[in-house]
Amino acid sequence: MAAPPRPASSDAPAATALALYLHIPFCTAKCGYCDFNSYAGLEHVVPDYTPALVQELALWAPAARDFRVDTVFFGGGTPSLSSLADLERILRAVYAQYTVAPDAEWTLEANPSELTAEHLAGMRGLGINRLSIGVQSLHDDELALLERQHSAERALSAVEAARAAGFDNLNIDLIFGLIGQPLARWQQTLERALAVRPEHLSCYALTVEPGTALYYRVAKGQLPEPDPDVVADQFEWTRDRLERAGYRHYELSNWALPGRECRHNLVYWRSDPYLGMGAGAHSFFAGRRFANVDAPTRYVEAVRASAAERAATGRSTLQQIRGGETPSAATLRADAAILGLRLIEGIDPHAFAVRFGCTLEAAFGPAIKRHLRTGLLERTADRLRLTARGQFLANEVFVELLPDEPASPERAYAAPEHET
Amino acid sequence: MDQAHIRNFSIIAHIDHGKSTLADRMIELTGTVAARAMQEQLLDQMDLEREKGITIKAQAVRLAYRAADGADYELNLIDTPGHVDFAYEVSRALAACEGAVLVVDATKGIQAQTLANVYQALDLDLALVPVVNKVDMVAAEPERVAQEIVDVIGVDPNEVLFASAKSGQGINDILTAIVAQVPPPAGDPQAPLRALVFDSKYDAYKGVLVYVRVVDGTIRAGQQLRLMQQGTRFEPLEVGCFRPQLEVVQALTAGQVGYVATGLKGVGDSRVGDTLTLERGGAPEPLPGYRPAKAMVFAGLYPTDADRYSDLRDALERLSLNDASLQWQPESSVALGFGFRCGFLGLLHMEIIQERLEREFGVALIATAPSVEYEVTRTDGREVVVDSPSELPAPNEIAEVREPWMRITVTTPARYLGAVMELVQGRRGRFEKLEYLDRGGDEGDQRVMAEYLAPLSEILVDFYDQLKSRSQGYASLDYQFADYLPARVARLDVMVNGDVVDALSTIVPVDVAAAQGRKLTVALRELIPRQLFDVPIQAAIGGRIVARETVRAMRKNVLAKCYGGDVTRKRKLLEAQKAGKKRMKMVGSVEVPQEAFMAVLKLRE
Repeated sequence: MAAPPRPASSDAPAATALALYLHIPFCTAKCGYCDFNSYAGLEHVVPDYTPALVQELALWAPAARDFRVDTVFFGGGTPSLSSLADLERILRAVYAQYTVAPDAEWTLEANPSELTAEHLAGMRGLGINRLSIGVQSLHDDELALLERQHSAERALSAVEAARAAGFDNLNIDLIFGLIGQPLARWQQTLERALAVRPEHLSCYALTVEPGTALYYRVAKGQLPEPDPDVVADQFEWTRDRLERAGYRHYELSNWALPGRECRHNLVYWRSDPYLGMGAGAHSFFAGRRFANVDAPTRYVEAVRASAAERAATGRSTLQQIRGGETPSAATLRADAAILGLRLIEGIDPHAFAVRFGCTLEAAFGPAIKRHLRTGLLERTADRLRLTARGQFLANEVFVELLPDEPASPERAYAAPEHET
Repeated sequence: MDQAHIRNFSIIAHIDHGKSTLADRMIELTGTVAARAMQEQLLDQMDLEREKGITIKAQAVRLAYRAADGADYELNLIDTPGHVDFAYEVSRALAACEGAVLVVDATKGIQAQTLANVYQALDLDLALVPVVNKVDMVAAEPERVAQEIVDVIGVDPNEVLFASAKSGQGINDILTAIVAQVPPPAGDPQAPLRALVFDSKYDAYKGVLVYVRVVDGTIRAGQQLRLMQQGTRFEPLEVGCFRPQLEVVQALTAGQVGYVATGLKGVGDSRVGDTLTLERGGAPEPLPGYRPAKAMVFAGLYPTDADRYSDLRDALERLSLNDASLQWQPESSVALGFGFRCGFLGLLHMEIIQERLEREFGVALIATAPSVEYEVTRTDGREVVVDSPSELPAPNEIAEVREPWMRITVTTPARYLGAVMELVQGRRGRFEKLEYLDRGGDEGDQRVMAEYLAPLSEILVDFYDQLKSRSQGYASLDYQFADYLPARVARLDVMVNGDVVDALSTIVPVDVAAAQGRKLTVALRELIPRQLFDVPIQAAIGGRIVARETVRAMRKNVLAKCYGGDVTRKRKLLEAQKAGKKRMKMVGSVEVPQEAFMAVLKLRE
């Protein structure tokens, strides 16, 4: 398969960095713990979906004219289910319509089951340079509890195959704090994952999300709730173990070998702009937060309508957007502080003051003071950050950073207007 | 309306025996409310009443009824609550009537509480119209229940009516019997005005509305009126009747029931039981008023948000206008700040008041554990009355404590007598006497009425529910105050994070105090969420620690990943957590949820 055309080099690269998130909502089966915008049994929508995504890229391109795309992230759902032909159409559209940095990070979320040598080689050839593999556990009984479609063995062989296909930047997603999981079982999973030396590890504590199959099993008493003390033990052990293995803990749930931090996710935590495309994708762009309609068929219809509108009038009202908010200055500051404190390095008070025209003290004085005292926050020479204990109690700090008045997204929102 | 054509009556019934449905049918049959405006439990206007399916407030409605002979009658129905806690509402309603319809469920028979209300009605010389309701139910035993009414109350067997309020069967017979058997009101329309205030409520536009039964004379808008006991003078904005919504009329004359819009804004200006008369040419003597309700249960009510203290005061003032049995006075707590010590008729009453304060007045509340009223003789000979644990003198200053005992009447099929006996004895109760209510066939089916004496503090919590569950729902309960008897009690204090939380103190029998302390600390350990530090919870009696538990410091409170940049959702989750924290009360540096202050109520479970 031919590689897509590269952009012509430019002497004057666009100034501002932009992240693109592209959502592929399809799955072969819905996992028991998953509350993402993902669907099993919608394969018949796939042929319409890729053209819609390509159309949406075109709709946004004029608004992103002055930006340089630094990272692209295919999230899901299961992007690794997309055919190479579909992926190629999407990548071509990105290159054709946007200014893309030559060293851009192209991440694709993958399930082990789809990572055949052929598919991996194809993706690598298209320019995907980072894979995030949803391994979750390396025990088959735990994978069954999570209703995952692969075995531990398959997960490890998928990692090997990715290496063989030339992927030198891999993330492995793992979930700890599984129901009834003793520390030792988690230790085994993490040790086996370390043995394949991924560049990046995301280790999430299991959250029993309302609306998931797992939630109902817990609510009905078929499964116990996760024990928060066991989860805390696992987190503390993980932090120590990964540090010894040479990984840098850079975000509450994320570790990376030096220089291998996920550039795309850093955009979220640093409150930098991103455009999300595809069903249910979220954006933070031009001071607004907004999201697309969730249902893939409705998304396809809305994008078609928007494209038709543009063809007819030269403008589009971006009908695929289901709603959003224009956060107040206070809400934007709180978002930035909350997201920024998820980074282990914490917040740079000087940079914060420059960006928001308001010092951290002026914005959050009493809360910061209180948690310096409780020992959840600490100051370093040039940062404010969570302490080691504060990392796993972050919400105790975050709730006190929220503005007094809860944000009311529906009322505050007006659809963004762009010449498109 | 000619006085001879007026009938004032109440309906006496046990909960679920069909009183509100019967009232609905009467309203329908007389065309008082257009069919399209009809809804179930029409007279139960509070949301709470509809949700719980019970009547809390007495309500009045005027029905226009054309009898079979073509004569027109004005029937004033005063609907009354059935639960024992609201017996006081019933007594006021009955005092405004000449007759009462006694409704008994054909599947259940006479219940203890019904009987108590019947005796009240007979004391007031009201004419009784006995009705066996729900005769169309499969389990109905109309003949047997009719016989029971004849045996227990002593009515003429031929006067017992059979009806189904649900289907409408027999309703006309009941209306006919009301006209025939309930005497018209006796008062003199020419005499100086005397009207009994049997209820009142606050209306934002019309000020205080007093609900009256005119005994003598006539009330018209524009007259100068006076409340005889309170001495309040006013010129009414309007005079009206209940249809059941307020409807203005020219005048209310002797025998009629209606309302007077006083225009008064001060809620302290009128009192239920007062007599309304004319400012000039008024009556020399007021009507006999009501015996004031005696509060049996006391608890502190505190605003969750200390800034809303004065809102809570206003709410209590307005509410006590509508509920004369509610008592309250300011108190303060080290833990909870400023609030009010309130007296209630019973636990259901307390629960209803709390809910009405929160719903109708929007004040979020913390209630402390309910207590009964103790009489204490101090060693120096002084007598004090204690209705709050914090007021109990130190053990060395107490010569004797007496607590209220109740006379409990339980009606039940004989087969459950053993279970009832066991329950009462487990609550320090004593058996008094037993009576057979009917001559029924099978021995186990025979209905009996058992009387016991038991301390009020023991039957306050969970007794009624236990009685129901141990008798498969068959037993019913009535109780009234009997006497103050000596008690061996002590104050159980609770320390949270080393500080005594006065709002968590309770007065308990000495024999079980330590065991109670252990249970309470365990319950609190579950109710108080984990904080950023270990929180010891201790129970102490007279400074001696009898139990200790620890709420371990929280170690995890963090959200997982930020799904594809959905910051708004993450913020909403945090806002929900923040709102949850706001509902808690800071006691020292510990966040304590509302439920913790009621923990003592859960200990029996």
